[in-house]
Amino acid sequence: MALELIKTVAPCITYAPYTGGTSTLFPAYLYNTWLITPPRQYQESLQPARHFFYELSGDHLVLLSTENYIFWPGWRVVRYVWNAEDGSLVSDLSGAQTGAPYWISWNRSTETGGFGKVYACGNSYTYIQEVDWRTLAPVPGGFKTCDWSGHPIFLNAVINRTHRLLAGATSWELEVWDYQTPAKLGTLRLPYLLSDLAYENDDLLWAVHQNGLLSKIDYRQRRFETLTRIKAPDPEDLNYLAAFDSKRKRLVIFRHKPDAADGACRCQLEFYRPHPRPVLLTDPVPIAPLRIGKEAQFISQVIGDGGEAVTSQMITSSLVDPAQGRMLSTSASTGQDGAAGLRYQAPEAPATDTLQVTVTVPDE
Amino acid sequence: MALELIYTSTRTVPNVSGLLTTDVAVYLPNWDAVLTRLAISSYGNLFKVFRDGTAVCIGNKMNTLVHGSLVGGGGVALIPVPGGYDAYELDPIAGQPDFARKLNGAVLDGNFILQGILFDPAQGLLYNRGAAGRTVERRRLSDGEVVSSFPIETDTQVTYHAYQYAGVGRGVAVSYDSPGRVVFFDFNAGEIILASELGLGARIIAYDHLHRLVIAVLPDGHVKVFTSEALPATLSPPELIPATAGKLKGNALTTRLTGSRGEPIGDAWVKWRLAGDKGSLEKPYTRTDANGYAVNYYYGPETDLGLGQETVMVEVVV
Repeated sequence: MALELIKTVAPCITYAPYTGGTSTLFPAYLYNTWLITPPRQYQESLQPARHFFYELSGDHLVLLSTENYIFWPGWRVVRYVWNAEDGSLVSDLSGAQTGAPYWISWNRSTETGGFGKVYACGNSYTYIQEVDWRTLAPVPGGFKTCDWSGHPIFLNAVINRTHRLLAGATSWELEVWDYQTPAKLGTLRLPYLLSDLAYENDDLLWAVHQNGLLSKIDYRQRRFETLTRIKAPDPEDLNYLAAFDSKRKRLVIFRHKPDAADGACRCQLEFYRPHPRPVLLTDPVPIAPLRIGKEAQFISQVIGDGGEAVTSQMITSSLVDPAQGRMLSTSASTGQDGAAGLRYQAPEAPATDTLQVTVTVPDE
Repeated sequence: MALELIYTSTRTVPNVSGLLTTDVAVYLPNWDAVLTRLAISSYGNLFKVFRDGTAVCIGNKMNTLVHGSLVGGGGVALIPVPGGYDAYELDPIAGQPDFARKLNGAVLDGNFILQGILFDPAQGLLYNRGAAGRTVERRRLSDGEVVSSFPIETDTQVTYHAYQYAGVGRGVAVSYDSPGRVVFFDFNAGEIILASELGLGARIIAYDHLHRLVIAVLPDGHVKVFTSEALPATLSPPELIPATAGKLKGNALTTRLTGSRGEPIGDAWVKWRLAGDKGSLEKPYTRTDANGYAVNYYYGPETDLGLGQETVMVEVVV
């Protein structure tokens, strides 16, 4: 299954321009003066974030991060909250957070999980705990896995409370644990360094990797469902974070792009529908020798961004005029491997024909 | 060239140059594509390569991991562990080792582990390259011990670099060195089925057992696709049995079609004709059998007027 990019909000964050003010506490000092070194002109710049999730109760997408700041103490914690429907910023919930600095450093990453709650992995402890989505502070009396579970400190983790499962990732592996026993149930080798996880439901999660690869994983069965790629990953991108909007069944990627030359934010939200999306049709290749007067079969494949097969696509074929042979099958549907066979009847004398194949893809 | 080239891609696979001589190239049937690593400059990057030269990066492989293939289709990852290697099936989606599907019992001895081992978990065996890459060693998967072996090459100048699955009961050994020797063997009977060559050297060669194709990625990035049937090279002079023909008496005529290395070419049409008008042939075309032989019958002339010498001519129909 490829992904269909249905909407991009770019930029999804607007920095405040520096207007010449000074800090009220330390008016003589400005910090990070590179922020306003021409042509830059903004008083802030986001640092690579790790806390991005879908918040079910408010139907929001939430990002908490630190940022470089022009005033004392040179950094601060910001929270951005977007309407999950259209990606518009919810301004009254967004902005600098004075109550979050401690918890954002205490927790390494935050994901939505079972029962619609939000859970955080610690920077220096192995347990996963339920946190307040506004501040990342632990919820008093909230869910928490065992302190002495035996598993490593995960970079990211999702919690399935129905089946008491914890799927936690190190850089290259995803470990699935029964968090109650606790016992490791299995390990999946990831195709590339992990960037973020997103909980879809009690069976599935998404993993976005640092090179833009995107894995859909059945963590209960410990197997891959799909390996694809976000649209046009750029080596200059700083980070990719993932959240799954369980209300609309779509994946949202927060793409952290470097600031523009003038310092403006270029981060964007990308909304993907997990829907088959063909990206490339391979050239038709014969699978048997071409012989005078004989039938030959050609195979073309329809693939997605990650080279994954796209099934049930109709490939049509035709011979470019003047044709000397003929097509015995003018269309065929792709199978599980994304391939479709097209039958050609060669003429009774030596000839050259040009086979043309097409697949129709609806506009994004 | 002995195996018939049927396709050369116009697209090119990027960054093929600089590969090590022994590297992974495994055809994965559920992808209908080849899993391989490309250039040293992108060390560790795994690619899915399609027959038309389309290549898509699908992640990285574990450092020091080596690959093999699986009887029935699929790939195997050999991961170094203390004392040797453990073998795991590849995940059919991501192409990464599936830690839930371990193939071996005891740790496999690292001294014989090289790229391109063929694993047969149903029989509890693996087939690896023994004796300088010119024999097939059958080893037990449980402990890695050699059960038996059989030769696939007598030319001491030739080394085979990878063994892969080639259909029911069959394996194929490929050599990356020019002229690209290819040997199909029956791993149960320990017999060579077909010895042939590609006519070129390529460092990425995989066998598509579903369509019976050899897929080779050349150093310039082009993909060449060969059928696994040898291309006819030599048709022997027709032999008359018995050697003297009589009036209206059918004498068997045989000819044998072989490839460049003497391998029999079966299922090929042979066209027969007489240079003169003395006598007749039973059929204008006959087909070669599995041993490359085509049989026809020659009938002498009906009357004494036709007596004399006649020449039978044979051609291969391509």
